[in-house]
Amino acid sequence: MANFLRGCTPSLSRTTLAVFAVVLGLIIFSVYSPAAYPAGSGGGGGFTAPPPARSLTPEQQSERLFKAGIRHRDKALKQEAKAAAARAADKTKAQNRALAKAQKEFAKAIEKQSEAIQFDPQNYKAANELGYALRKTGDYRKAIGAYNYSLKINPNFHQATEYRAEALLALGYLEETKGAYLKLFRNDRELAGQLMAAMQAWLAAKGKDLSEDEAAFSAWVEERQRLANITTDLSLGNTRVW
Amino acid sequence: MVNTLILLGSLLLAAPAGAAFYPQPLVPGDNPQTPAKIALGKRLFSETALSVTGTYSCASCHQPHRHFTDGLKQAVGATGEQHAFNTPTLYNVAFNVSLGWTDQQITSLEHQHRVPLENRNPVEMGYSPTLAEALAQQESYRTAFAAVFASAPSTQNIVQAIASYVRTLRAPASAFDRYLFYDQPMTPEQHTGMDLFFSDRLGCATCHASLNFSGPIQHRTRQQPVVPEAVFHVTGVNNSYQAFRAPTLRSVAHTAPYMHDGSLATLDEVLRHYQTTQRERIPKFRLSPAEHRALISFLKAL
Repeated sequence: MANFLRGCTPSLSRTTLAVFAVVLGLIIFSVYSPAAYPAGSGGGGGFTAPPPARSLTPEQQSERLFKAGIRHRDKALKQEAKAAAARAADKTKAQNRALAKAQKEFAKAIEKQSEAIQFDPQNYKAANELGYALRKTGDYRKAIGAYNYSLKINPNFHQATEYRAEALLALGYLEETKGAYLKLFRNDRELAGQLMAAMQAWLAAKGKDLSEDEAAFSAWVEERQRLANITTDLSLGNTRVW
Repeated sequence: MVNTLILLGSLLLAAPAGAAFYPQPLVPGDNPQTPAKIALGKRLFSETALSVTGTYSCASCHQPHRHFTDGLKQAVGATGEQHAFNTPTLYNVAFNVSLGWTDQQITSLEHQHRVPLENRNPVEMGYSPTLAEALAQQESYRTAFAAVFASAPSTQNIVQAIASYVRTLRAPASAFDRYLFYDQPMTPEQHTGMDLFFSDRLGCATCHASLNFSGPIQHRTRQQPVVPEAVFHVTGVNNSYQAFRAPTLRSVAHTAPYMHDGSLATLDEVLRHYQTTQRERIPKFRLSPAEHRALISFLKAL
């Protein structure tokens, strides 16, 4: 547990994060060797049937799988919306059916995004989506590993920071969540707003029976919401015609 | 280790310009920012050859070491004529939807910079196009303008270069920024002052709003554009009924004297003024001595 905590603590060293990325990479490569998907000619004397997408570069294959994973993610989210509507209508069976379908779609998304990373280990967006799907299936620890991998490749991909923070929050790592919020607040107010909503929802679900740490976190969230309100961001785009 | 990181963070925050937490400002399509243009604009900003007397530049009033102000009540032009208004800081002007103290129609830095250059009532720089021609006699300028604009110095490209430089000016990071962006605590007195500043009772933030503590500024999110509302108000200082743009309060501890005419020498005087003035949009309030100190303390943290 202690090692894991260190691995997902934003303020700790890049080396630790790198170790996580390497571990994730090793898991990936142990299943899919890049050598099995050579780019370019087949070589050798014997004929072997080309794989279906042989003409595509590994990056193109990765992108195609990434998009397929996104489609599964979107289908899953639709099922989650159906489940929410069913719950509102007190239709438990329909709710459970929709949730089960959503989980299946998320599982497919995990498969596609994992494959996308095999083809292109630099595909940080696929790693981020892998983390998202893992998180939605409740595997927060693996999700954080995927987000760490995404952020290792592109530390400025703030969407991964936000998703990662939601996974950390679900596991109760409040200080790490606060650190992620501040990073987002400095760099992307919109994503900071999303994390703020997630923190408020987490606290609302906790109710009034808060531990000392949770009560302090609640006060911090309240203060941060106030600060966000009173220091509205400045221009982020063109509202003026020159 | 953590302390070292905090110290490093503080040093980075102390950078005088381009603080990372400010968003990118709007840039006119016909005057894109380039490093070479910004460098040329910075040089022109201090170029005395652009004044009628050959002794005055933008930096004569907007002095970088005085946080781009001059410490005078009212600005004095190249020929010694006194301006009606105080020299405002140039920090964060890139985010203003209108510029100058009173004119809501000046909405770009390119437009605004023509005012001090060409104004004749009173004379500020006393610039005329012949001075651009004189600039073209200097080889280093010829080379720089050719590289940036592929043309010789002209009024238009002089203004564009200066505007590009001024667009990069940011207030130095402050104790408030360190609290806001890095969760480093302010003092209890500063915190009390912040609560007062943003309270309905005092209403300071109604005009000195948002990250820039200024008005008007423009607000926009990616989903929902919001049309900016200009904030001009009658301060009542020296019984004036004219409406002035609320200036930024960033680095306000270093930009005395205050108000449009520089008539108030200290922040103490400003707070006393707002407790006694009877003007529209300014709530009537009284501060206890402790509250007064706290509010000053917060203003100094900006």
